[in-house]
Amino acid sequence: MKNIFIVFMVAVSANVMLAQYNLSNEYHNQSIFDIVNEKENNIDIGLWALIIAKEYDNSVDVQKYLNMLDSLSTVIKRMLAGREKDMDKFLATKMFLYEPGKWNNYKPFSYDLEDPLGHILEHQLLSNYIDSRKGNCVSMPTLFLALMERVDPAIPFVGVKAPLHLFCRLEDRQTGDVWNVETTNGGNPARNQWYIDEMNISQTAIRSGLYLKDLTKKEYIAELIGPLIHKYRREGKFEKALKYADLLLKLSPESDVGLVQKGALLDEMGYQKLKDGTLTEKEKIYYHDEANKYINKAFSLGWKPESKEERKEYLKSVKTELQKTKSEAK
Amino acid sequence: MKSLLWLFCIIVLTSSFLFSQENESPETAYPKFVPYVVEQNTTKQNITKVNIKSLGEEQPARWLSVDPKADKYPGWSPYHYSLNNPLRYFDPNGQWSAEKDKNGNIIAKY
Repeated sequence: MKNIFIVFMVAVSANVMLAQYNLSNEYHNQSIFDIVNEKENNIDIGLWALIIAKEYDNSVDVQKYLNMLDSLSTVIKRMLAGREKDMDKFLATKMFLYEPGKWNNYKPFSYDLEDPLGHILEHQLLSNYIDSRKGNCVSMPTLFLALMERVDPAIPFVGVKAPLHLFCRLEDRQTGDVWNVETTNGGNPARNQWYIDEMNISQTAIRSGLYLKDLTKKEYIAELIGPLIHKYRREGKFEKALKYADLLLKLSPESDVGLVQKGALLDEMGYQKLKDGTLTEKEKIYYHDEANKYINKAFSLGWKPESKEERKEYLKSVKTELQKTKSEAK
Repeated sequence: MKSLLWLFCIIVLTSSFLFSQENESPETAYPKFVPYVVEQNTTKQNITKVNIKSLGEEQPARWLSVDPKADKYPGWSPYHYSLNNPLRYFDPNGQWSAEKDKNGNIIAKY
């Protein structure tokens, strides 16, 4: 009787543990707005990134890409050959993505140096990256995260934010070591200090948690909503863009992207009304004050616009890398 | 005659004022967005003014070069301070750890 009770208790606790990381990766025509009701531990980054891609481009077949993610992770599991350590899982995924071999048909995934400023919004979409194998600092960590959570849903592998940049972080459960994973550059490690120096991150931004902190899954997905806001902002559909900015801020209330975009959108809306001749005095004050409120909050958290010098320096480093890549290819 | 001249001047001035109001562009009529930030870390307070039109156009798409010192401390967490041995080593700038003698001279860098 005692043995049966022990077996029962073990079975119950195992179920509880599994349920804790039960990724709900079934696609049933959810909208990105449904993520609000999702539990943090159940969020499948791959699924929600693909839902965003579909929201951006309605022709994206979410189920097809979900199946592709499952196939890719199956290859990684095969490469692991039963090894259970976190570092093994990370290195297998890194090798699968970035080293040419039969596991990726000798076509590794890499950063698209031809679009270093991300003018082409589609490059931020996961579906686009899976197809083209050329991505940027939004799509590249997203795929890494999506694959790692399929290899081991419980692994402490999270997204992290820097100015205009996303990367990943692994907390090795066996050794306790924490590694930043720079996905735009072969999944190589990088120190926090490297990000601080290269991206001019202020102490205010670190203290406020704006940059370099571990993001929750919801906070990470929030950062992926950016292209949707930009798309509709570029098209002049400010009301629609504002809905996405509001969702972004609901998922991540102190996101610099959300705050700046909302502030800029409110200002654009006020200006649009003025041009249409429908702006009342009351609205004039409202749009101006609200826009100021959001932008100033971003500033107070340590955000600052990229300076011309910083951009020049960044483009110079990309140009050097591009020349190096081209000479290596010859 | 004098009063007519005055009347003419008033008409010209009023019409030029009204004309300038009609032709005012929406850019000048709309309150300009001037958020500001006070950088607290500096001794002198710097106030940065920003133009709204330039905000939010940048895309998160940055590439990052390889950290040349990433393999300097293999196995060490990026959060470690002076190789987790602050009694023996110190870390002057977050770039490397060092050991100093009793006089404060650096005798070894790691």
